[in-house]
Amino acid sequence: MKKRILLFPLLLLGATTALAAASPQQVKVELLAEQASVQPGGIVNVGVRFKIKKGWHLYWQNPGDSGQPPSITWSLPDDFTVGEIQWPNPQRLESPKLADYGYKNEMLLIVPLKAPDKLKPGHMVRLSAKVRWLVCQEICLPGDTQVNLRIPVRKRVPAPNSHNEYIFKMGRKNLPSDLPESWHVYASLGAKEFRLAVETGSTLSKTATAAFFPLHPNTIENAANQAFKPSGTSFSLSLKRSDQLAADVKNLEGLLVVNDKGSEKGYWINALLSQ
Amino acid sequence: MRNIMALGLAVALLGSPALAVTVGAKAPTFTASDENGQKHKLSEYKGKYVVLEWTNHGCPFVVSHYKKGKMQKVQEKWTQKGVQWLRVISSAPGKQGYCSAAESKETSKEKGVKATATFLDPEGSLGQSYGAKTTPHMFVIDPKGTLIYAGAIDNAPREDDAVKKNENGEAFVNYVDQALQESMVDKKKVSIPSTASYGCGVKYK
Repeated sequence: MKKRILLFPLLLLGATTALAAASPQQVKVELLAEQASVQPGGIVNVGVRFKIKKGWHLYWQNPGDSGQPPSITWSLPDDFTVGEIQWPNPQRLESPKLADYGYKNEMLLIVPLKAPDKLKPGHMVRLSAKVRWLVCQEICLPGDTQVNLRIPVRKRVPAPNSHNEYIFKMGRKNLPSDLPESWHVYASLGAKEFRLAVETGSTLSKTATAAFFPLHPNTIENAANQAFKPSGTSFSLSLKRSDQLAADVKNLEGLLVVNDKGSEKGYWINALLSQ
Repeated sequence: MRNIMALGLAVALLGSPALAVTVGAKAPTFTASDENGQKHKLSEYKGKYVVLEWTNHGCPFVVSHYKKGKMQKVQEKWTQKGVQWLRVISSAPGKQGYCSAAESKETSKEKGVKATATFLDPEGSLGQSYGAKTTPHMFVIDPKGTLIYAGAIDNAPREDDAVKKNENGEAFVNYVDQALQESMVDKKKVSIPSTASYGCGVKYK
């Protein structure tokens, strides 16, 4: 009994330890766990947190005209499985004649990891990742680092890791939301552009704006103005088509980011093109 | 006819919006200056295969392709078969990759570049007319002047030199090498005519 009480503070420290190996000065990376422990067969949400030097940026899953998104290569104990990276809503990064999609200042990539059922409680496991990135300003610099964290395996439902609660809370605010039930999205493709019309069901504020971030490259001309046009409770975007757009394209897939009434929300859409 | 063509070129070079560059259609005509100050038109290469390679010697992707002689090897392989391999630098003055004719010649010599010529395009008009977005960005034109490939140099944007297969576990493919092999040697249709290019952004004005 006494032993357990003494071990607890050490275990908590272990769960928050995130070692970041030497990395270029533009980017600092750390690995954080949202939970304080992991259950056998349970999920632990791990965050790869990037701190970016002012003036520099990293890239979204579709980087846009140039650049490259960061990559994570995991080294995990036996039979752990890795879920999809949850990408935060990107911002538009413009340079002469080009537009990219990415992040400034800070970025948190949340990845769910699932522990195997047979994982034995009462010891620590080490989660490790090699993280590679391209950080750009006007010039680009590749970088990489190894990050690790140790987390205890516990039978009980994990409590949040209190040290990281705020970081994950803020990180989750930047993740895409589900498209509201009342919204309707219509997409069509003309000789020069895609037209996206969105019916929202409520009046947009005078300062509302929206932008579309395609999931796949060679879809739209990323640098072209998207001609946002509000009209009562709906709005439209005109997206110049890419020269390299496939002839048999059937749908428009990507993230619609809407800034309205002081809040920014991203919605995944996959709209079938109407004739 | 010549006068209309000349007018068209002049308009193209005066910074009109980027012309549509569609694989399967005629490649945009151009007039560009090489490292010796000589002007070249696309029409002078009629009857030959042409490769356009956008480059910037400071971009890490370009550095990686040239560092171990990979790009030079492909340049040499195909120029030996009569392909006109034309490098293009569209970096604006003061931006990464921009260099004078003399500096460009020096860099080419230093890196053992095996291209036919390097065009200096500091105004970015050649880059804009092709919609060149990255370094590298590759275009292959057949002897009839038709664009048969546009996009990335290969399928390994994260290539680890020691590894032939890229991170998806697919076999390594140099799309330019493949397009030339299929069209020029095998005399068949290019199987992958268009891909998304990868690299640093072209440093336009």
